[in-house]
Amino acid sequence: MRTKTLLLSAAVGAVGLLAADAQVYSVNSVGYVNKALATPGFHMISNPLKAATDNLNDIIPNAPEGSLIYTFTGGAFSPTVPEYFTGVGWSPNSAIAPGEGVFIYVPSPATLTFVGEVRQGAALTTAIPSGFSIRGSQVPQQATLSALGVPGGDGDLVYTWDGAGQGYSATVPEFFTGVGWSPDATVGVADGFFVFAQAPRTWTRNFSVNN
Amino acid sequence: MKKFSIVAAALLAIAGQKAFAQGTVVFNNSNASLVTYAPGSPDSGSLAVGNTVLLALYWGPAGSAAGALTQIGGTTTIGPVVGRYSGGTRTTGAGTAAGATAVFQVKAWSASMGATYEEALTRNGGYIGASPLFTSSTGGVGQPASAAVPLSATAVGFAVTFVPVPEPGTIALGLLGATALLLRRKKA
Repeated sequence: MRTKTLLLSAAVGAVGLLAADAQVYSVNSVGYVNKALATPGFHMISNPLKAATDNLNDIIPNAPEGSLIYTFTGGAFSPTVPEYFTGVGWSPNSAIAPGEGVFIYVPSPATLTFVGEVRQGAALTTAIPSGFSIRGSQVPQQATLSALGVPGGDGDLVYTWDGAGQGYSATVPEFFTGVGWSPDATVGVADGFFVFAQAPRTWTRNFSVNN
Repeated sequence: MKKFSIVAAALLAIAGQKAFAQGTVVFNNSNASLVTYAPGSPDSGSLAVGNTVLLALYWGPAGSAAGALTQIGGTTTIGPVVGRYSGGTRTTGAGTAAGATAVFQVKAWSASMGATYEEALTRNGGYIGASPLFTSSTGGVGQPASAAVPLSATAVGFAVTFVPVPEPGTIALGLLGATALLLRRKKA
Protein backbone atom coordinates (compact mmCIF):
# COMPACT_ATOMS: atom_id res chain seq x y z
CA MET A 1 0.00 0.00 0.00
CA ARG A 2 2.82 2.35 0.96
CA THR A 3 4.58 1.50 -2.30
CA LYS A 4 1.45 2.39 -4.23
CA THR A 5 1.24 5.72 -2.43
CA LEU A 6 4.88 6.48 -3.12
CA LEU A 7 4.54 5.60 -6.74
CA LEU A 8 1.42 7.67 -7.12
CA SER A 9 3.22 10.59 -5.53
CA ALA A 10 6.13 10.11 -7.89
CA ALA A 11 3.77 9.86 -10.82
CA VAL A 12 1.87 12.97 -9.81
CA GLY A 13 5.16 14.79 -9.28
CA ALA A 14 6.45 13.76 -12.67
CA VAL A 15 3.23 14.73 -14.41
CA GLY A 16 3.17 18.04 -12.52
CA LEU A 17 6.69 18.88 -13.59
CA LEU A 18 5.87 18.04 -17.17
CA ALA A 19 2.75 20.17 -17.06
CA ALA A 20 4.58 23.16 -15.61
CA ASP A 21 7.43 22.90 -18.05
CA ALA A 22 5.90 22.02 -21.38
CA GLN A 23 2.18 21.65 -20.87
CA VAL A 24 2.44 17.95 -21.68
CA TYR A 25 0.07 15.69 -19.80
CA SER A 26 0.60 12.03 -19.21
CA VAL A 27 -1.65 9.33 -17.87
CA ASN A 28 1.31 7.06 -17.33
CA SER A 29 2.79 6.54 -13.89
CA VAL A 30 6.49 7.11 -14.03
CA GLY A 31 8.68 6.61 -11.05
CA TYR A 32 11.65 4.83 -9.65
CA VAL A 33 12.35 2.00 -7.27
CA ASN A 34 15.46 1.83 -5.13
CA LYS A 35 16.50 -1.69 -4.32
CA ALA A 36 19.06 -1.86 -1.52
CA LEU A 37 21.43 -4.82 -1.61
CA ALA A 38 23.12 -4.41 1.74
CA THR A 39 25.20 -7.58 1.62
CA PRO A 40 27.89 -8.25 -0.98
CA GLY A 41 27.15 -11.48 -2.81
CA PHE A 42 24.03 -12.92 -4.37
CA HIS A 43 20.51 -11.51 -4.44
CA MET A 44 17.36 -12.45 -6.35
CA ILE A 45 15.73 -9.54 -8.11
CA SER A 46 13.22 -8.79 -10.83
CA ASN A 47 12.44 -5.74 -12.90
CA PRO A 48 9.48 -3.90 -11.35
CA LEU A 49 9.13 -1.12 -13.96
CA LYS A 50 8.82 -0.74 -17.70
CA ALA A 51 12.00 0.88 -18.99
CA ALA A 52 12.73 2.02 -22.55
CA THR A 53 13.66 -1.58 -23.38
CA ASP A 54 14.03 -4.80 -21.41
CA ASN A 55 17.80 -4.72 -21.86
CA LEU A 56 20.00 -4.58 -18.78
CA ASN A 57 21.50 -1.19 -19.66
CA ASP A 58 18.00 0.30 -19.50
CA ILE A 59 16.70 -1.73 -16.55
CA ILE A 60 19.78 -1.43 -14.31
CA PRO A 61 21.88 1.40 -15.75
CA ASN A 62 24.24 1.49 -12.77
CA ALA A 63 25.75 -1.30 -10.70
CA PRO A 64 29.04 -1.93 -8.93
CA GLU A 65 31.97 -2.86 -11.18
CA GLY A 66 32.06 -6.64 -11.60
CA SER A 67 28.37 -7.23 -10.86
CA LEU A 68 26.96 -10.31 -12.57
CA ILE A 69 23.49 -11.33 -13.75
CA TYR A 70 22.46 -15.00 -13.73
CA THR A 71 19.40 -15.89 -15.78
CA PHE A 72 17.66 -19.23 -15.41
CA THR A 73 15.83 -20.81 -18.33
CA GLY A 74 14.87 -24.34 -19.25
CA GLY A 75 15.63 -25.61 -15.76
CA ALA A 76 19.23 -24.41 -15.65
CA PHE A 77 21.32 -21.30 -15.28
CA SER A 78 22.37 -19.80 -18.58
CA PRO A 79 26.08 -20.23 -19.37
CA THR A 80 26.15 -16.57 -20.43
CA VAL A 81 26.61 -14.31 -17.40
CA PRO A 82 26.38 -10.57 -18.21
CA GLU A 83 28.92 -8.53 -16.26
CA TYR A 84 28.87 -4.81 -15.44
CA PHE A 85 31.92 -2.82 -16.51
CA THR A 86 32.15 0.83 -15.42
CA GLY A 87 32.08 3.07 -18.47
CA VAL A 88 30.80 0.27 -20.67
CA GLY A 89 27.66 -1.07 -19.00
CA TRP A 90 26.47 -4.66 -19.15
CA SER A 91 28.32 -7.07 -21.38
CA PRO A 92 26.44 -8.68 -23.00
CA ASN A 93 23.48 -6.31 -22.75
CA SER A 94 20.96 -9.13 -22.34
CA ALA A 95 17.21 -8.70 -22.02
CA ILE A 96 15.24 -9.57 -18.90
CA ALA A 97 11.60 -10.15 -19.74
CA PRO A 98 8.85 -8.62 -17.60
CA GLY A 99 8.09 -11.04 -14.77
CA GLU A 100 11.41 -12.80 -15.11
CA GLY A 101 13.59 -12.97 -12.03
CA VAL A 102 17.37 -13.24 -11.97
CA PHE A 103 20.21 -13.65 -9.55
CA ILE A 104 22.50 -10.65 -9.27
CA TYR A 105 25.97 -10.85 -7.75
CA VAL A 106 27.31 -7.60 -6.32
CA PRO A 107 30.92 -7.47 -5.08
CA SER A 108 30.04 -4.60 -2.74
CA PRO A 109 26.84 -3.28 -1.11
CA ALA A 110 24.76 -1.37 -3.62
CA THR A 111 21.45 0.33 -4.22
CA LEU A 112 20.01 -0.43 -7.63
CA THR A 113 17.69 2.19 -9.06
CA PHE A 114 15.06 1.02 -11.48
CA VAL A 115 13.49 3.84 -13.48
CA GLY A 116 10.45 3.51 -15.68
CA GLU A 117 6.75 3.31 -16.00
CA VAL A 118 4.47 1.23 -13.80
CA ARG A 119 2.97 -1.58 -15.82
CA GLN A 120 -0.80 -1.41 -15.67
CA GLY A 121 -3.79 -3.13 -17.18
CA ALA A 122 -5.23 -6.58 -17.44
CA ALA A 123 -2.65 -8.03 -19.76
CA LEU A 124 0.22 -8.45 -17.32
CA THR A 125 0.88 -12.11 -17.87
CA THR A 126 3.93 -14.11 -16.87
CA ALA A 127 4.39 -17.68 -18.00
CA ILE A 128 5.56 -20.10 -15.33
CA PRO A 129 6.91 -23.31 -16.85
CA SER A 130 6.78 -26.65 -15.07
CA GLY A 131 9.81 -27.29 -12.92
CA PHE A 132 12.06 -24.53 -11.64
CA SER A 133 11.98 -20.94 -12.86
CA ILE A 134 12.83 -17.53 -11.35
CA ARG A 135 9.97 -15.07 -11.40
CA GLY A 136 9.02 -11.72 -9.90
CA SER A 137 6.12 -9.31 -9.84
CA GLN A 138 5.76 -7.16 -12.94
CA VAL A 139 4.55 -4.31 -10.75
CA PRO A 140 6.39 -2.62 -7.87
CA GLN A 141 4.35 -3.98 -5.01
CA GLN A 142 5.30 -5.56 -1.70
CA ALA A 143 2.65 -8.13 -0.92
CA THR A 144 1.96 -11.75 -0.11
CA LEU A 145 2.06 -14.43 -2.78
CA SER A 146 -1.72 -14.63 -2.81
CA ALA A 147 -2.16 -10.84 -2.98
CA LEU A 148 0.26 -10.74 -5.90
CA GLY A 149 -1.84 -13.43 -7.57
CA VAL A 150 0.98 -15.96 -7.89
CA PRO A 151 -0.79 -19.00 -9.31
CA GLY A 152 -0.22 -22.46 -7.93
CA GLY A 153 -1.26 -26.07 -8.04
CA ASP A 154 -1.03 -28.72 -5.40
CA GLY A 155 2.63 -29.25 -4.52
CA ASP A 156 4.00 -26.09 -6.12
CA LEU A 157 6.78 -24.48 -4.11
CA VAL A 158 8.28 -21.01 -3.77
CA TYR A 159 11.87 -20.44 -2.66
CA THR A 160 12.70 -16.92 -1.53
CA TRP A 161 16.25 -15.66 -1.05
CA ASP A 162 17.72 -14.38 2.19
CA GLY A 163 20.21 -11.75 1.02
CA ALA A 164 21.64 -11.19 4.48
CA GLY A 165 22.16 -14.90 5.07
CA GLN A 166 23.25 -15.57 1.46
CA GLY A 167 21.02 -18.61 1.08
CA TYR A 168 17.48 -19.68 0.37
CA SER A 169 15.05 -18.88 3.18
CA ALA A 170 14.35 -21.82 5.44
CA THR A 171 10.61 -21.34 4.96
CA VAL A 172 9.40 -22.77 1.66
CA PRO A 173 5.78 -21.82 0.90
CA GLU A 174 3.80 -24.66 -0.67
CA PHE A 175 0.53 -24.46 -2.56
CA PHE A 176 -2.29 -26.65 -1.26
CA THR A 177 -5.48 -27.04 -3.24
CA GLY A 178 -8.33 -25.40 -1.31
CA VAL A 179 -5.89 -23.54 0.93
CA GLY A 180 -3.49 -21.64 -1.29
CA TRP A 181 0.07 -20.71 -0.36
CA SER A 182 1.11 -21.90 3.07
CA PRO A 183 2.72 -19.95 4.57
CA ASP A 184 1.64 -16.99 2.47
CA ALA A 185 5.08 -15.38 2.30
CA THR A 186 5.59 -11.70 1.58
CA VAL A 187 7.61 -10.74 -1.46
CA GLY A 188 9.39 -7.39 -1.47
CA VAL A 189 9.39 -4.81 -4.26
CA ALA A 190 11.74 -5.92 -7.06
CA ASP A 191 12.37 -9.27 -5.37
CA GLY A 192 12.77 -12.40 -7.45
CA PHE A 193 11.96 -15.90 -6.23
CA PHE A 194 12.24 -19.45 -7.45
CA VAL A 195 9.01 -21.24 -8.33
CA PHE A 196 8.80 -25.00 -8.60
CA ALA A 197 5.61 -25.69 -10.57
CA GLN A 198 4.12 -29.14 -11.03
CA ALA A 199 2.61 -27.98 -14.34
CA PRO A 200 2.84 -24.86 -16.53
CA ARG A 201 0.92 -21.89 -15.12
CA THR A 202 0.09 -18.37 -16.22
CA TRP A 203 0.48 -15.58 -13.69
CA THR A 204 -2.02 -12.86 -14.67
CA ARG A 205 -2.25 -9.50 -12.95
CA ASN A 206 -4.80 -6.77 -13.42
CA PHE A 207 -3.09 -3.79 -11.88
CA SER A 208 -3.84 -0.10 -11.74
CA VAL A 209 -2.24 2.55 -9.56
CA ASN A 210 -5.74 4.05 -9.12
CA ASN A 211 -7.12 0.91 -7.41
CA MET B 1 26.59 -64.30 -13.72
CA LYS B 2 29.91 -62.51 -14.06
CA LYS B 3 28.51 -60.53 -17.00
CA PHE B 4 25.48 -59.53 -14.94
CA SER B 5 27.70 -58.29 -12.11
CA ILE B 6 29.79 -56.18 -14.50
CA VAL B 7 26.68 -54.63 -16.09
CA ALA B 8 25.16 -53.95 -12.67
CA ALA B 9 28.38 -52.32 -11.46
CA ALA B 10 28.55 -50.16 -14.59
CA LEU B 11 24.94 -49.05 -14.17
CA LEU B 12 25.56 -48.20 -10.52
CA ALA B 13 28.63 -46.18 -11.49
CA ILE B 14 26.64 -44.22 -14.08
CA ALA B 15 23.83 -43.62 -11.59
CA GLY B 16 26.38 -42.46 -9.02
CA GLN B 17 27.92 -40.01 -11.46
CA LYS B 18 24.53 -38.56 -12.37
CA ALA B 19 23.60 -38.06 -8.73
CA PHE B 20 26.91 -36.31 -8.06
CA ALA B 21 26.44 -32.67 -9.07
CA GLN B 22 29.62 -30.86 -10.03
CA GLY B 23 30.68 -27.38 -9.00
CA THR B 24 30.03 -24.31 -11.12
CA VAL B 25 32.05 -21.09 -11.39
CA VAL B 26 31.98 -17.94 -13.51
CA PHE B 27 35.16 -17.64 -15.58
CA ASN B 28 35.97 -13.94 -15.01
CA ASN B 29 38.52 -11.65 -13.40
CA SER B 30 38.58 -8.19 -11.85
CA ASN B 31 40.62 -5.01 -12.07
CA ALA B 32 42.81 -6.52 -9.36
CA SER B 33 43.67 -9.56 -11.48
CA LEU B 34 44.28 -8.15 -14.95
CA VAL B 35 46.07 -9.99 -17.73
CA THR B 36 49.04 -7.90 -18.88
CA TYR B 37 51.91 -8.00 -21.35
CA ALA B 38 55.19 -9.00 -19.72
CA PRO B 39 57.82 -6.24 -19.52
CA GLY B 40 59.97 -6.17 -22.63
CA SER B 41 57.17 -7.39 -24.88
CA PRO B 42 56.29 -5.62 -28.15
CA ASP B 43 53.10 -4.43 -26.40
CA SER B 44 52.69 -3.00 -22.93
CA GLY B 45 50.03 -2.60 -20.29
CA SER B 46 46.89 -4.73 -20.10
CA LEU B 47 45.95 -7.07 -22.92
CA ALA B 48 44.03 -5.38 -25.72
CA VAL B 49 40.34 -6.10 -26.30
CA GLY B 50 39.72 -8.51 -29.15
CA ASN B 51 40.09 -12.02 -30.43
CA THR B 52 43.85 -12.14 -30.80
CA VAL B 53 44.38 -13.84 -27.45
CA LEU B 54 42.45 -16.87 -26.24
CA LEU B 55 41.95 -17.75 -22.59
CA ALA B 56 40.95 -21.07 -21.06
CA LEU B 57 40.13 -22.17 -17.53
CA TYR B 58 41.92 -25.18 -16.12
CA TRP B 59 40.56 -27.08 -13.16
CA GLY B 60 41.59 -29.79 -10.72
CA PRO B 61 40.19 -31.19 -7.46
CA ALA B 62 41.42 -29.49 -4.28
CA GLY B 63 45.13 -30.15 -3.76
CA SER B 64 45.89 -30.75 -7.44
CA ALA B 65 49.29 -29.76 -8.84
CA ALA B 66 49.66 -27.65 -11.99
CA GLY B 67 50.39 -30.64 -14.23
CA ALA B 68 47.20 -32.39 -13.17
CA LEU B 69 44.77 -29.68 -14.24
CA THR B 70 42.49 -30.08 -17.25
CA GLN B 71 40.71 -27.50 -19.37
CA ILE B 72 37.01 -27.07 -18.63
CA GLY B 73 34.73 -25.43 -21.17
CA GLY B 74 35.66 -23.49 -24.26
CA THR B 75 37.95 -20.53 -24.69
CA THR B 76 37.08 -16.88 -24.19
CA THR B 77 38.70 -13.59 -25.22
CA ILE B 78 39.67 -10.27 -23.68
CA GLY B 79 36.85 -7.72 -23.36
CA PRO B 80 34.92 -5.55 -23.15
CA VAL B 81 37.70 -3.65 -21.37
CA VAL B 82 41.47 -4.18 -21.52
CA GLY B 83 42.92 -6.95 -19.42
CA ARG B 84 39.55 -8.34 -18.42
CA TYR B 85 37.75 -11.51 -19.43
CA SER B 86 34.18 -12.57 -18.74
CA GLY B 87 33.58 -16.00 -20.23
CA GLY B 88 30.37 -17.17 -18.56
CA THR B 89 29.94 -20.28 -16.44
CA ARG B 90 32.12 -23.37 -16.36
CA THR B 91 31.34 -26.72 -14.73
CA THR B 92 34.11 -28.60 -12.98
CA GLY B 93 34.89 -32.25 -13.56
CA ALA B 94 33.43 -35.00 -11.42
CA GLY B 95 36.26 -34.66 -8.88
CA THR B 96 34.67 -31.54 -7.40
CA ALA B 97 31.22 -31.78 -5.85
CA ALA B 98 28.90 -28.78 -6.12
CA GLY B 99 29.88 -26.30 -3.43
CA ALA B 100 33.30 -27.83 -2.84
CA THR B 101 36.61 -26.00 -3.22
CA ALA B 102 38.73 -26.64 -6.30
CA VAL B 103 42.01 -25.53 -7.86
CA PHE B 104 41.96 -23.30 -10.94
CA GLN B 105 44.43 -21.77 -13.36
CA VAL B 106 43.90 -19.40 -16.29
CA LYS B 107 46.00 -19.90 -19.40
CA ALA B 108 46.27 -17.43 -22.27
CA TRP B 109 47.89 -17.59 -25.67
CA SER B 110 47.79 -15.88 -29.05
CA ALA B 111 45.09 -17.35 -31.27
CA SER B 112 47.63 -17.42 -34.11
CA MET B 113 49.58 -20.07 -32.17
CA GLY B 114 46.78 -22.64 -32.12
CA ALA B 115 43.39 -23.57 -30.78
CA THR B 116 44.69 -24.92 -27.47
CA TYR B 117 47.30 -23.89 -24.93
CA GLU B 118 49.12 -27.20 -25.42
CA GLU B 119 49.35 -26.57 -29.16
CA ALA B 120 50.50 -23.00 -28.56
CA LEU B 121 53.35 -24.25 -26.36
CA THR B 122 54.91 -25.82 -29.46
CA ARG B 123 54.66 -22.65 -31.58
CA ASN B 124 56.39 -19.29 -31.79
CA GLY B 125 55.41 -15.84 -32.86
CA GLY B 126 52.86 -14.90 -30.21
CA TYR B 127 52.05 -14.41 -26.57
CA ILE B 128 51.63 -17.16 -24.00
CA GLY B 129 51.25 -17.26 -20.25
CA ALA B 130 49.47 -18.82 -17.30
CA SER B 131 48.28 -17.58 -13.93
CA PRO B 132 49.46 -19.03 -10.65
CA LEU B 133 47.14 -21.71 -9.26
CA PHE B 134 44.33 -20.38 -7.10
CA THR B 135 41.47 -21.96 -5.20
CA SER B 136 37.81 -21.08 -5.15
CA SER B 137 34.61 -22.49 -3.81
CA THR B 138 32.02 -23.52 -6.40
CA GLY B 139 28.27 -23.19 -6.84
CA GLY B 140 25.56 -25.50 -8.11
CA VAL B 141 24.58 -26.74 -4.67
CA GLY B 142 21.10 -28.01 -3.84
CA GLN B 143 17.71 -27.74 -5.50
CA PRO B 144 17.18 -25.12 -6.75
CA ALA B 145 20.87 -24.87 -7.39
CA SER B 146 22.95 -22.04 -6.00
CA ALA B 147 24.46 -19.68 -8.56
CA ALA B 148 27.94 -20.24 -9.96
CA VAL B 149 30.69 -18.64 -7.86
CA PRO B 150 32.50 -15.78 -9.67
CA LEU B 151 36.25 -16.36 -9.92
CA SER B 152 36.77 -12.57 -10.01
CA ALA B 153 37.15 -12.64 -6.22
CA THR B 154 39.98 -15.19 -6.21
CA ALA B 155 41.57 -15.10 -9.67
CA VAL B 156 45.22 -14.00 -9.80
CA GLY B 157 46.54 -11.61 -12.44
CA PHE B 158 49.35 -12.69 -14.70
CA ALA B 159 51.43 -11.61 -17.68
CA VAL B 160 51.84 -13.16 -21.10
CA THR B 161 55.30 -13.37 -22.61
CA PHE B 162 56.11 -12.89 -26.28
CA VAL B 163 57.75 -15.90 -27.93
CA PRO B 164 59.54 -14.58 -31.02
CA VAL B 165 59.90 -16.52 -34.26
CA PRO B 166 63.60 -17.35 -34.68
CA GLU B 167 65.04 -15.19 -37.45
CA PRO B 168 66.48 -16.92 -40.57
CA GLY B 169 69.95 -15.84 -39.47
CA THR B 170 69.49 -17.49 -36.09
CA ILE B 171 68.23 -20.68 -37.75
CA ALA B 172 71.17 -20.72 -40.15
CA LEU B 173 73.61 -20.23 -37.27
CA GLY B 174 71.94 -23.08 -35.41
CA LEU B 175 72.22 -25.37 -38.42
CA LEU B 176 75.88 -24.43 -38.87
CA GLY B 177 76.54 -25.17 -35.22
CA ALA B 178 74.78 -28.53 -35.44
CA THR B 179 76.72 -29.44 -38.58
CA ALA B 180 79.99 -28.49 -36.92
CA LEU B 181 79.16 -30.62 -33.93
CA LEU B 182 78.33 -33.60 -36.15
CA LEU B 183 81.57 -33.21 -38.11
CA ARG B 184 83.57 -32.99 -34.89
CA ARG B 185 81.93 -36.14 -33.53
CA LYS B 186 82.68 -37.95 -36.80
CA LYS B 187 86.35 -36.94 -36.66
CA ALA B 188 86.63 -38.10 -33.09
